[in-house]
Amino acid sequence: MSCEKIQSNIGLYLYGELSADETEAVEAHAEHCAVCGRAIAEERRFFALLNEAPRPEASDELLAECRDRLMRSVDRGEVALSASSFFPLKNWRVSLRAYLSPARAWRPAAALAVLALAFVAGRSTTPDASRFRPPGFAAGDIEPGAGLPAKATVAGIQSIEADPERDNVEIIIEETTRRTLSGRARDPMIRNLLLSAMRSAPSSGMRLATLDILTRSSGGHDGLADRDVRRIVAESMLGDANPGVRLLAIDALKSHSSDPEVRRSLVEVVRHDLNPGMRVQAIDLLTQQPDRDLAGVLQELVERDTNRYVRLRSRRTLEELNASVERF
Amino acid sequence: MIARPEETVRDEAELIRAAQRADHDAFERLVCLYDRSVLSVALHLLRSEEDARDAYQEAFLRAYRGIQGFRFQCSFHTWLYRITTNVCLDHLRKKKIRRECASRQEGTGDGPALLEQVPDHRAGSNPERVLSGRQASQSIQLALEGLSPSERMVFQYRHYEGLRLRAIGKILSMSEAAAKNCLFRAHRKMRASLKDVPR
Repeated sequence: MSCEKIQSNIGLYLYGELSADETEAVEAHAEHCAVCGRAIAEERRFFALLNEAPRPEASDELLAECRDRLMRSVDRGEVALSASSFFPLKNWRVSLRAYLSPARAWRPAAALAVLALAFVAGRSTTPDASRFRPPGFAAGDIEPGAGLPAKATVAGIQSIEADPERDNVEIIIEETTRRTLSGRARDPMIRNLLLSAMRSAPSSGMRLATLDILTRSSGGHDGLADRDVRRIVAESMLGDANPGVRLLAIDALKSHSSDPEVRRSLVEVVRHDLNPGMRVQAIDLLTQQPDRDLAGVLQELVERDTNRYVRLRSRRTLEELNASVERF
Repeated sequence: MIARPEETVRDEAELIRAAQRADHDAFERLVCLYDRSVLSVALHLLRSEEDARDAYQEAFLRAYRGIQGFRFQCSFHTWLYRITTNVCLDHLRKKKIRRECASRQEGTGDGPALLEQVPDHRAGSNPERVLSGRQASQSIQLALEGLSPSERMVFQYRHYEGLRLRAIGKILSMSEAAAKNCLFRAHRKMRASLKDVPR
């Protein structure tokens, strides 16, 4: 290989873009040619100079912000894959947990929050959730706790951050001045704010993350042992506009599917939820402990549900109950 | 026993096909697989967090809208890189970053260049080296501004992203030979711009 050809290909040589034969030819030539040897050394110094520029890396916070913004755009229907607003969600359980998992989605910095979300102040209710509000609990209001003014509203919440490793939740509230509240998820004040956020946060990403915090078990404490939490999660299962939130809610309620209030909510899901994944989950939970009170609902499903699995499962359960498959 | 829907392990092709069938969850998983890389590329190409945020959003929304047209003729990674590159090129042309960065370098801008805010986490870095690095960074930034958009893309993808020229050619819809020529021109211009910078 000539010196001219060698020197014109030094960059490609250093990038490893040459073939094995060409690389060997360059190296063999450079061993005996001082001029080309110096040219290669000079190019290495040039590469080292280029590498002195620090490469901007995306921080975890920036990435989380971008993901949340993207999800909100998709949730708001700014773009759609199809005309239907209900996507069949497969592997949703793994996907959502993985999406929220600190180990996967956000690499935690030392002792800092692993989940950062924010929503714009101003919105205080979601229309679907309003149907299922317990009496006496007005939209957007929370019960006052220690250190809070008489009424703190969800509209003031700027962000919620959770650090599962330290079992700590930090909520930033915007009043006349910015406030940061932090504590354990089960502390009454934090818990009430989280419950309010479940009802009123405009971002499904925020509601997903809040649901995950509320229902996570830590230190032997079951998040759903609290009746108020169970009620809010059931409301979300029934009324949240986002199917991902509803699916996460039903998954969280699995361990409490024998609770009468939860079972009533599951019956509503199996009757009315348009998402077949939701109806499948609900029918599975209900039929784990079948009782004859379910017969009427199961007969209805056999007759009219559009999902084959739901119809078959309902039929099989009726047979196990020695109940008629048909309605009279 | 009624067989219930079982979760299966999906490879990327399955995820893509599922997303093409309007499986929202599958698309989210694809986002999680690649979005850090997309954001890093946008940040590096555009040198602005605000522009990188917009480019991220636009790139994934374009991917979301266009995924049904993906024909598996290249890897999904390459396809996404192509979208990201086009989005970044559009940003560069619209915002005329060269003029803005040049004015910032001359001290007439509103704030320090992004590179000056990037901390140097390299092991063994010391203040002198950090200062010297910043000065080199500013010179490199200026040199990059002197490249055409194509030359800049090829150069940055090859040198900083480590992509092969063949892959770069596919991303930028040019032949490998054309990408190689772009790289040669970019190197020549960069070398000329940086000849007075101490090494």
